[in-house]
Amino acid sequence: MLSEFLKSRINEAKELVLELRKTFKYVSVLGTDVRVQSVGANRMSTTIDDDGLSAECGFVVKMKNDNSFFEYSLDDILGDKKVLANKIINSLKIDSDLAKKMIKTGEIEDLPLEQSFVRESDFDKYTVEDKLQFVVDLKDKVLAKSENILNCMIGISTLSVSKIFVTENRTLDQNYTWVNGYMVVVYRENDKVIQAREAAWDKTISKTMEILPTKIDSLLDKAHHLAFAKPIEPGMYDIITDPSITGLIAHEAFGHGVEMDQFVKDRALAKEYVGKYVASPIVNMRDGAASVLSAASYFFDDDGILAQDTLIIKDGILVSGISDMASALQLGTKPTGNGRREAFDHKAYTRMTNTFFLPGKDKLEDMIKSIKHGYYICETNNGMEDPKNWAIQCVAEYGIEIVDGKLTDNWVSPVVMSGYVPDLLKSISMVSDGLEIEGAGACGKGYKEWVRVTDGGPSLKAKVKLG
Amino acid sequence: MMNLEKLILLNKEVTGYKINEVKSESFQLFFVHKSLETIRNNDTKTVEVTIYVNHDGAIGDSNFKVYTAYTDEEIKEKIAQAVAKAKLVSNEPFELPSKEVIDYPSDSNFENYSLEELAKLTEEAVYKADSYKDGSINALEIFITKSIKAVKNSNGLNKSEVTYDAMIEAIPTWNGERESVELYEQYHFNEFDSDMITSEIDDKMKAVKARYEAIKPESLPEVNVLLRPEEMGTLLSDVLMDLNYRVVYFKANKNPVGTNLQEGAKGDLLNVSGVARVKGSVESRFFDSDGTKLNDTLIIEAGIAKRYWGGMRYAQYLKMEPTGNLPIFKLALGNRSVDELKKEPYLEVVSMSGIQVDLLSDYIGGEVRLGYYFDGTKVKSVTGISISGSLSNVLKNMYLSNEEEKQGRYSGPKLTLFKGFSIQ
Repeated sequence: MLSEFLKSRINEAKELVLELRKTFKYVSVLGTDVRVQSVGANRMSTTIDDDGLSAECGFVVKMKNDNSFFEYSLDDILGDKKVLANKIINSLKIDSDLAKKMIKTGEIEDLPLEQSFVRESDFDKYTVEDKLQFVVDLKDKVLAKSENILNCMIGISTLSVSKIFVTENRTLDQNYTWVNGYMVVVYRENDKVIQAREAAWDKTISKTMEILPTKIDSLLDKAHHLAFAKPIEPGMYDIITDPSITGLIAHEAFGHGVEMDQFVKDRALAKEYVGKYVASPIVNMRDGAASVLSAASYFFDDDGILAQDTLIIKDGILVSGISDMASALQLGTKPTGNGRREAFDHKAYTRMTNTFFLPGKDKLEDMIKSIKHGYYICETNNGMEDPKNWAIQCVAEYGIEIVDGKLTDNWVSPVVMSGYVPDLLKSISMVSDGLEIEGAGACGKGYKEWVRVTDGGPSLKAKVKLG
Repeated sequence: MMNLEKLILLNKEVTGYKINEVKSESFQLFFVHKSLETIRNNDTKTVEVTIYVNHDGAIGDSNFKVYTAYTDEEIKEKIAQAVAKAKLVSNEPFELPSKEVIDYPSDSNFENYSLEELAKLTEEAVYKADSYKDGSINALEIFITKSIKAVKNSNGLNKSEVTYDAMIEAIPTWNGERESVELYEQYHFNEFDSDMITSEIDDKMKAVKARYEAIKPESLPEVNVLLRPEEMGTLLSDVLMDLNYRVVYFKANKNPVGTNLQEGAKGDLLNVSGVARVKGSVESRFFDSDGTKLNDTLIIEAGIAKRYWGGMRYAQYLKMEPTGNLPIFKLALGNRSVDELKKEPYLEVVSMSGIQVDLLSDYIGGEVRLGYYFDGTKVKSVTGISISGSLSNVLKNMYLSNEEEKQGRYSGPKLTLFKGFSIQ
C-alpha cells in the first residue's frame, strides 16, 4: 500500500508543479517514503532498528527550461505553494558567470500517464515479535551447532518503498517491498578467527525465513574451510565463477561501462564500441528493473520512466547502454528507466538495477572437468569499475582449487581478480546453463551515491590474473 | 509541533531517550566538461529518536525517525510503538552520558562566505588547474554542505556543533594519439584556500598525464612498495576497528590488548592514536553520536595493541573508560625524509582500484592503476599491475616518512615504505 503520507501529498505536488510551471517549461516532483526495519540477534544482544540509514522521507523538485537542470530537495511540500515556489526559485539563483556556462538542452517529453503500481507483500502478516523470535531461535540453533562459534549474528531487514512522481501530465505512484536476511558467524579453528556469512532474500518475509535456516550447514562448512584457507599464489589461472562472481564481473566490467551519463562526459570507452565485439560470442548480458524480480526491481525510476529490460551485450557485441533522463536528453536517445537516486536529497544518475549474464549451454560439471589446474571462485566481497580504461578489480571471499578436473578441499582466501575488461570477457570459453541473481548488493558511483543493486548469471569459465 | 522531549516524557514507560538531529543545507554544482549541467539545493532536517526502557533487570531500546510532516498524535504513536519494541529487547544495562550543555561553533573560514559563493570560488580554483593542452577535467561535482549536528538525552545532555564539508569530485583526463585515460579524485576540505585546491587538482592533472604515459610492464622485481595516505587510511582503519569496544564485546576481534602487531619488526614501529580533531579535516568532531566527549587516545604503542577504544555503551559492558567513537586515526611520523625512502628501487602506488585489507585473512593487496617505478636510475609510470602480501609480514618491514599529510580519517606520514609485497 502506498504510504498515507505520500497519498496526502499528491495534490500538493500537483499544485507545486503548476506554480513552478509559470517559471519553468518542465517541472517534476518526486516524493519518497522508504521505511526500513532491521531486527537482529547475536550471542549478547538483540536489536530492533526502525528507519535506519536507508530510510528516507521527503521530496525533490526538478525543473528545467532550455538549459541546465535545477533541483531542490526538501522535507515537505505542505503550505502556500506561491511562497514555496519563490523560495525554491530564489535558492537556485546563480551568478551571471555561472549562468553563461549552462548547457543547452532540448525539451523533455512529458508523456501523459496516470498509474498506480503495487507489489504483493506479506509484511502485514508478521509482527516485530515474530521477526525477533525468528532471529533469536535461529541464532540459538546456529550456536548449538559448534563450539568453535564465538558469536553468531542473525538479521532480517524489511524494506517498504513508497514513491510518487508528479508532472503536469503524469501522476505515478508505486509501493513495493523487499526482504534481506543474513547469518554471520565469528568462528575460531586452526588457531584462526574468521567470519563467514550466508544470506537469503525475497519480496516476502515468509520465503526469506524459509530459505535462511536451510543455509546453516553450508555456513558452518564454509567457516571450517575458511579457517584452513591459505593465501593464493599470485598468477594467471583458469577459473570457474559462481553466479555471485559472474554478477560482479557483469557489474564492474560492463555495467558501469555502459552507464550513459558517462557517455555524456566522455568517461566511458564503451561509447566507441557500440556495435562491436567486446566479449566472447557466447556472452549475453542484460540490465533492467523489469528484467527479473529482485532487490533492484521497481515499477518506475526516479525520473518517472517506467522500468525496462535492456539487452546490453548480444552474442559478444555491445548493443546498448542504459540511461537516466538527463543523459538521454543530452545524447538524443530514449531513457531506459535507470535514473536512480541514493535518496530524495541526492541527484539522479544513470545507475544499474539487476545486471546479469544470460545462461549458456554448458554443464557446470563439464566446465570443472575441463580445467587441469585452476580455481572455482566464489562469493562477492567488492569490486571497482574503471569505465574509461576498462581496468577491473573483483574481490571474492574465497576460491576452491581445481586439480585435474575435480574440486579439491584446498581453499584460498581472499581472492583478488584483476585485469583488462576485454581480455577477461574475450577469455570466456564456457557458460553454464544456470541462472542465479544475488539480491543483497549495494553499489556506489565512484565512492558515493549508494543504491541497491543485484547481479548474477550462470557460471563462467575464463582466464584471469588472481592475487 | 509540541516540543519533542515533552512528547516523549508524556509516556511514563520511557526510562530514557536520546535525540539526534542533523539540519543540513547544501549547494551543489555538476559540470560536464566545463558546462554546468545541474544546480542543486538541499534544505533538510533529520531527527532520530532512541527510546530506552528498563525491564526485568535489562535495558531495551528502539529507534525511529521523526519526519517534518508528523503531527503530535503521530509522534505519540511512534513513541508508544518504540516503547513496545524496546520491551522486547533485553540487553545488558548501561548509563547514558550525563548532563553537559555545550554548543560548539565552527572555527572554519567558511563562515565568511555563503554556500553559493564557496561553490563558485571552488569551481574557479579547480578549473584554474585545467590549463594543459592535452589534459582536462571531464566532469566536476562540487558539494558545499553546512550541518548543525545536535544530540540531547534524558540525563540533560545537550550538545551541538556546526560542521562544514566541501567535497570535490573531479575526473582529470589526458588525451593524445592513444586511448585517453582518466583518474578519479575526491577531495574534502573545510577551510577555503583557493591555491590549495588548485594545487591538489594540478597534482592530479600531472598524475593523469603519468597514467597516459604509463606502460604495463611484463614483470617487475620485488622492490620496496610506497603507500600514500589514502591506502594507509584503509590499512589503519582495519587494524584499529579490530580494537574497538563493540568488536571486542561481540567477540569478533582478532588481536587482544597486549598483542605485538609487528612481532619481529625490522622497521619502524606503529604508534597510533585515535583523535577528535585535526585542523582542516572534515572528519573532526567534538562529540560522538551518543554525545560522549571525544578524548584523544593512544591505541597502539611501539607496535603493541595498548588499549581498546570506543563509545560509552560497549565501554561500560567491558568495564572500561569510554574514549568516544574517535573519528581520526593519527599515525606518528617516522624519521626518514621522503627522499631517503626513495633512495632504493621502489614502486610508489599513486592510484589503486581500492586497496584490500583483510585482517582476519592476513591479506593486503589490490590492482594498481598508476604507480611510479624507480629501477635505481630513473622513474617511469606503470599501470596494469597488482600488489599483494601478508599484512603481518609487511607491517614488520615498514618505514615511515617524517613529512605529514592528512586524508579522510588518516593523519600521518606522507609516504610509508613496505618491504615484502609481491608485485605481479
